[in-house]
Amino acid sequence: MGAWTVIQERQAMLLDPAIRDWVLLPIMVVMILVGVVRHHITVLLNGTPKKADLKSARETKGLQRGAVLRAYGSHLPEHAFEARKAYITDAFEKGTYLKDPKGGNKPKGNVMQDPAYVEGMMDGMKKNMMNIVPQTVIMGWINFFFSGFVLIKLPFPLTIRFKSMLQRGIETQDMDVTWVSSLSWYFLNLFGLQSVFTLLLGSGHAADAMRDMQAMSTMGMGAATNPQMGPTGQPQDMHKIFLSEKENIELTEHEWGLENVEIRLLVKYGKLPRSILEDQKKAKAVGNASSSSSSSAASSHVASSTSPSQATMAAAAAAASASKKKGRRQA
Amino acid sequence: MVNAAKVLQDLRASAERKPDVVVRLGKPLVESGAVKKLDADAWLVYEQVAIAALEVGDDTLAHRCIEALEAKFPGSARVRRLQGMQLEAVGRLEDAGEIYKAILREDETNVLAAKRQVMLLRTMGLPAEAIGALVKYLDINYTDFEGWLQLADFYLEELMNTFVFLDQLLAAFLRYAQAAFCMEEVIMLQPQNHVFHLKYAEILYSQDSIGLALKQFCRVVELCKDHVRGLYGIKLCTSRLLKAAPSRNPAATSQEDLKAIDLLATERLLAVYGSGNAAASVKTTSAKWIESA
Amino acid sequence: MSGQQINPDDALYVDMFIAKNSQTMTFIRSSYSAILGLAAGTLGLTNWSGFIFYFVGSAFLSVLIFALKTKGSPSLYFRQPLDVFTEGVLGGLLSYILFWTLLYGIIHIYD
Repeated sequence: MGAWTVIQERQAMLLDPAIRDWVLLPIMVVMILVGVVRHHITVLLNGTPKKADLKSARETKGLQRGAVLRAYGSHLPEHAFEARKAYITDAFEKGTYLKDPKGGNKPKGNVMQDPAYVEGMMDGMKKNMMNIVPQTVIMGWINFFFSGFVLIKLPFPLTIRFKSMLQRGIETQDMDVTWVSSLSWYFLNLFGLQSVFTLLLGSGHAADAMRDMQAMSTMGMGAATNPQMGPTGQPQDMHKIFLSEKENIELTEHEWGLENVEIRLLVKYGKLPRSILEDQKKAKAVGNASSSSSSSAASSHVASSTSPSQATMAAAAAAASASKKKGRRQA
Repeated sequence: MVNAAKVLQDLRASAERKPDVVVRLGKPLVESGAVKKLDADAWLVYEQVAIAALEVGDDTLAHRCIEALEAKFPGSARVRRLQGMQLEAVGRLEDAGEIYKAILREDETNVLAAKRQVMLLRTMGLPAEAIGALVKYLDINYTDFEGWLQLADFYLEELMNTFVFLDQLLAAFLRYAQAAFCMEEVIMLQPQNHVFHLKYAEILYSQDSIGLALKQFCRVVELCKDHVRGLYGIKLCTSRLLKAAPSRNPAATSQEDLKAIDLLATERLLAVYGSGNAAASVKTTSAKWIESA
Repeated sequence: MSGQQINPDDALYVDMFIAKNSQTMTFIRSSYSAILGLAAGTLGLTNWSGFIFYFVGSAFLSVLIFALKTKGSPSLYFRQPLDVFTEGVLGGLLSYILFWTLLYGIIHIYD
């Protein structure tokens, strides 16, 4: 210490070391232990994964066909893409992949009797319990045993508004906001220990405070009040989802990524300048704009829009081939 | 021992098929009992070595591993699949089939058993049934790119097996188209892997869609610089396209581009064969051949 | 939604490896931030000097990783090369504050 310290002492207070031994460190240790125990209990509670159902698996994978086509269809030639687009839009409309093709909408009154739904709700509730109970218990414990005294000084300043929150239980008016009570130490630990838990328990740990906050805020709006809610999972109308996916696919236009692959390859090896790709992009944009704005004689527009790009390609290729014989890179 | 375990772990992660390496490294581990020191990983190693042993024909080693697994996980579907594979290896195909059927009866989504069933049908010499079973499997498990890859291979194998002459042309036409469809699915599921693009390109070439094949070969070289098979593919396509009449399709590759690509491919091939420790005679021969192609 | 153009560089990144790299970065940063917090608390830094210490330390770590681990080419390991400098910094800040407060309290406030 000594010469190295940069303490700004506005209000120098010395605290009884007993507080350090019996409050500061114990709270931290307890929170770490509770977090670890909670993680392991969650793992135990989750137990064996549910047995998968063939039809549900098929349903989800079927939906993925559409997503994959949209995301990576640009790798396929046009005929392949169009064929799949036609097939999938048709299949989604007819509900080929639905678990229960003739089920239609679930009758709203019998939501509780659907076993999958009930299970989903139980799982959600279990998770909520595991998240909220430890938090409330620890907060209660701290408030009961450790209230009414200053615990620690924060090394950084805060505004006055935080005073009431951080100094709950200590009724002084002049004391710096930086002197805080045990509850605020609890909150500090709550956020700061997240990374410690990640270090100890690996990334998927169940002691995530952020998730707790979300869980607490959504519990009121949870499955109990709104049976059709999506995030709890179950009674979504899969048919509607398929239909919306189908519309997405119908809107997807096929842009073949390999259209100018030869040019890209030549550019990659330095035979053609990079600017060619920019020129092609511009020409294509111009071509798209002009072809979309015209209503009649679309074919002539398409022909004229490809010729500027072809002309630039030909011009550049001609220029390139002249110097290419010597195998030199183009600037 | 630590190094062997690490190598085995890497092989598990990369899913490479190197049964000889696995057996060479795993056999001493298993036989000396040192594998137990790996705790949780030990069972993965047992499974890995069992499969590799079956592949190289070391039945006693496989039996030992499977016994150990059975002792630890009695009744597990995963272990039973291994037992099924063991039966397949000794030729007791019907019994293997029974095991797989039993597993699927308990858990109809068990991917391992379903896959083994498909391959069993092929081993039994029933390619049509194997294809049917695989198609049914893929209808449910769309995202399994290895399944699609296997289906493409099935169709290509079918090509070699059709004996009836007249039917052969029609069958060839159909099979190539089906294989191409499968490869398209694989590419959509694994777009960054150039090997799949290569296979697709070669199927397209066999279907005589040279223009399309050329673009795919270019893609292969784009994804994997100086890929020799891709470069050869480019040369084959460009030589055919240059000899043919220029296409009137505006989207087709222009003549200048064809010549440019052809030159590029030649240059890269020469560079690849010219480098390295090959004898000078090899280099000149290959250079002459490449340039005349 | 119109079709997507193939970005020639898209195929270069394997998702699993990118995720693993992210995870490693977070791991390094959180451990480093905790230790940095212990140091700051011990030194008795307060207010701005504390925060500056954190950001300087973070920047130092980023430079180290950039030079030693990615060997000057972070684009090999991350989608956005600048990710090396920014990933996990804010998460680390929280644990930095925790350990900073802890050590500061233990050493300077208690007898």
